[in-house]
Amino acid sequence: MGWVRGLRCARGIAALSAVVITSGSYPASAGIDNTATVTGTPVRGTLSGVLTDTVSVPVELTDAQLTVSVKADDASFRNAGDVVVYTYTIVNSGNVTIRDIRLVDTHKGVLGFLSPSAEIILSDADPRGTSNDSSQDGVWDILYPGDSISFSATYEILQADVDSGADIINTVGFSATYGPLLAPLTLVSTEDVSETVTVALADPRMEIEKSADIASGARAGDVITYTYLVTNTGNVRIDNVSVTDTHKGVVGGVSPVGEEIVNNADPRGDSDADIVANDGVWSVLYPGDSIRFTATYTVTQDDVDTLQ
Amino acid sequence: MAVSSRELRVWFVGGLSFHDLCVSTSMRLIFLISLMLLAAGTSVSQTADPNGGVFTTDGLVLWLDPSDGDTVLDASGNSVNSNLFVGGVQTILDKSGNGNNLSVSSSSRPELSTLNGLNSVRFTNDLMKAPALFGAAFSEMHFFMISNKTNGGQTEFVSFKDGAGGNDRATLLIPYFDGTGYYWDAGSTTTQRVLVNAPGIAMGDIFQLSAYKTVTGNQNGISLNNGQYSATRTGAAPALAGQFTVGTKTADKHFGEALVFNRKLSPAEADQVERYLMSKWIYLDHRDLVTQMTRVSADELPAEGDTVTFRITVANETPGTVATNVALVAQLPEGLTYVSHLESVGSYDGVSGIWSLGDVTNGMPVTLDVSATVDVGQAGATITYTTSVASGGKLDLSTEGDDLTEAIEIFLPQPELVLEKSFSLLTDVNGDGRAGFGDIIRYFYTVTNSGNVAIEGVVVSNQTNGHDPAFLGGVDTGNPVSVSVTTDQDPLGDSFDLDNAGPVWDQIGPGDVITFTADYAVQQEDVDYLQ
Repeated sequence: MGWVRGLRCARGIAALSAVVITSGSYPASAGIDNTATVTGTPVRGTLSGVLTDTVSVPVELTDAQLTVSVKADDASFRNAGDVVVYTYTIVNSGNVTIRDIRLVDTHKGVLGFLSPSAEIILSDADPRGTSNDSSQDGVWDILYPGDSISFSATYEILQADVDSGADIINTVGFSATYGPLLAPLTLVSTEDVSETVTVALADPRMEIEKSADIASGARAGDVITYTYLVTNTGNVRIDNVSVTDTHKGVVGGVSPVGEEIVNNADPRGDSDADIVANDGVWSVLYPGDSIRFTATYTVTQDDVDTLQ
Repeated sequence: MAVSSRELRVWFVGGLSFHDLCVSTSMRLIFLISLMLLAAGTSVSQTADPNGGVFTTDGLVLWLDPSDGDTVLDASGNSVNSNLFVGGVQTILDKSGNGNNLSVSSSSRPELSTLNGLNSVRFTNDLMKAPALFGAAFSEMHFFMISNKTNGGQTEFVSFKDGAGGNDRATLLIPYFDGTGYYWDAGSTTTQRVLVNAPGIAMGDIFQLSAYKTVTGNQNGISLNNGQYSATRTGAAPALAGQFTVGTKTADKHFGEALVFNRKLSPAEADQVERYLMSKWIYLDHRDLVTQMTRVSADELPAEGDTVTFRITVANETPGTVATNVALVAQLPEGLTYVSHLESVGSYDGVSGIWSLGDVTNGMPVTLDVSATVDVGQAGATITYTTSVASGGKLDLSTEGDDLTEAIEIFLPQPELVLEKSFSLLTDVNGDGRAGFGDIIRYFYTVTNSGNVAIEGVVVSNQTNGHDPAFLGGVDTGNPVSVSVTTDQDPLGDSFDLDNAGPVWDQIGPGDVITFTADYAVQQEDVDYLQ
């Protein structure tokens, strides 16, 4: 298997391609052999002489080349949940027929690799042969020189990708054979073939909505319950979410605790994971999710006295 | 001059002597040694032919040669060369060394004359006899004589007579004129006659007679009848050996030369003697028959099963003459099977190979075409068809112009093709000199007929590991397919392709080259899998 190594590139460069040059192992003396035989009926006697002759016409030297490129449909600032569609274009740019082409795409995504498939013919116009594929199984059967095919793969940007902030870079590899012995295509010269998808810039953002169950007329001794609804309105996961509350009470502050998940419906992540319950810290809050903290305050006389 | 049976006589043409010859000492030594060996070591004596050959003296019992003035004597015993010679010829000495001199027993002597510029003896109602010639050991006779006549009439000229009764045992008659030509004929009432057809001999011509006779029984006579010899006994056994007589009852019968052997000469030996006589008496009547064997079928390199036609041509090159009773033997050699023949004259027996031509007139060559098929198993062999020399009633003066054999090489088929394959990139998009997708490779299949027979239905197939489904019309990779495109090239003209396109080339002839081409479109799979 030859590997097309990834090449880090500037953002916005959608695709790179590589010409894969391979070497073969066939005898140099081979060629188109023609053995001619002459026959005839002599008017007398038995025919003899030099009745056969063979010439061998050397054929062009093997120049097994695949030009591979990969391109994402949208490679810029992708957010979690976005689906990136990769299209792999393969051109037989050499002079021999290449068979059993399959691609492997590794990248820094969470899954670690992609399996390009859904191979289709792009161009079969070259007269050197009719490229064909018996089934859409992720392996292209025969690709004649001059023809081109494509594979495709999709990748849904994970929150982790966004959270990491790193580019998602593909490294495309392939395997293929050629020649009568189905020799493996051996990479002898490389240029990286990669596609870089950038994730959205980190925008950590939360909103907090505070409410109290006694909005007015609190008297000393009343216990006010405060509720803090915290929603991750940004695009990155926020860990260790906690709420502090200072207020004008004589005590001077409350400590919201009793954290609980309120909305864990956002697909970007499962926020229902609080390592230590009721410790006032919510462990993981994914974008779109909401948690709630609560705190109580018993109104003092001082509060009544002084906060009039 | 007489020579013994072991004597060697050497003539040097043009008066050259041994010392006149410009030869080295070593060569002279070799020559002397050769002469010594010939003179002392061989049992078959030979005398030299003035024209460069030799003829045997083995069995030579009588040699009368009036052209040699030393051997022609007058009544006083003076030779012609003595300058004292007068009057008629009394004696002709026997040059064989056997003492069988010819002499006149009466006062009527023949005259010294000339024939062909040489001394001869002209008989006019004259008669000369040799003494007893046929002894007990004399069982065969081979006889050669040079003569002519200057008037007509049928007349006894040379005879072998019974020594006891003087009866003719063999009589040689000079030709007589029958209104169209002169013939030897048995016009006499005697039964022992020579009958030799000699058409075309004009009055005054010199002619040569040669004959062989087996002497059996009491050896009292020789019968020559129709040119075939047989022993004939007439009357009682002779008390004396037979005599050789030359004589005539009419005028102007020239006696040139005679040789008698007491055995049958081999054909080669007889040929030697005849050549000697012909070279000396150059006006001898002859028929120069030229026999030639050729191949007339077009195929210079026939194959097994092919029909080859040979032609034997016999021409009489002696102007104004007709060669008679001409025949030859031309039997097909092993490896050829008779099919047919066509003769312009006479008849040919395909089994015996004898072609009896009959007459061959000067200026009118005759032919025999013999057709035969090449037997299986002869591929690569050389078959030689040989004919004998055509011979007839007259001697053939020379073998000049004869060509008695015709060798044919039998085609050994060696069909062979050489395929050479190459390619070029018709298009090379990236210019790397290698086949890439979309490039076009053009393959060239060059097929050379490097053999010696035409090859039909030439197809080039190609097996490839490539993936071009359209290449050469192929469907499945690796399957052999036929080349679909060809380029017709026919440099020699004996190759063709009716549709002038692939995939089959109809025929490619020896030495020709054709090229098939095919384009290949490089596929992606080629690049993928054919590294």
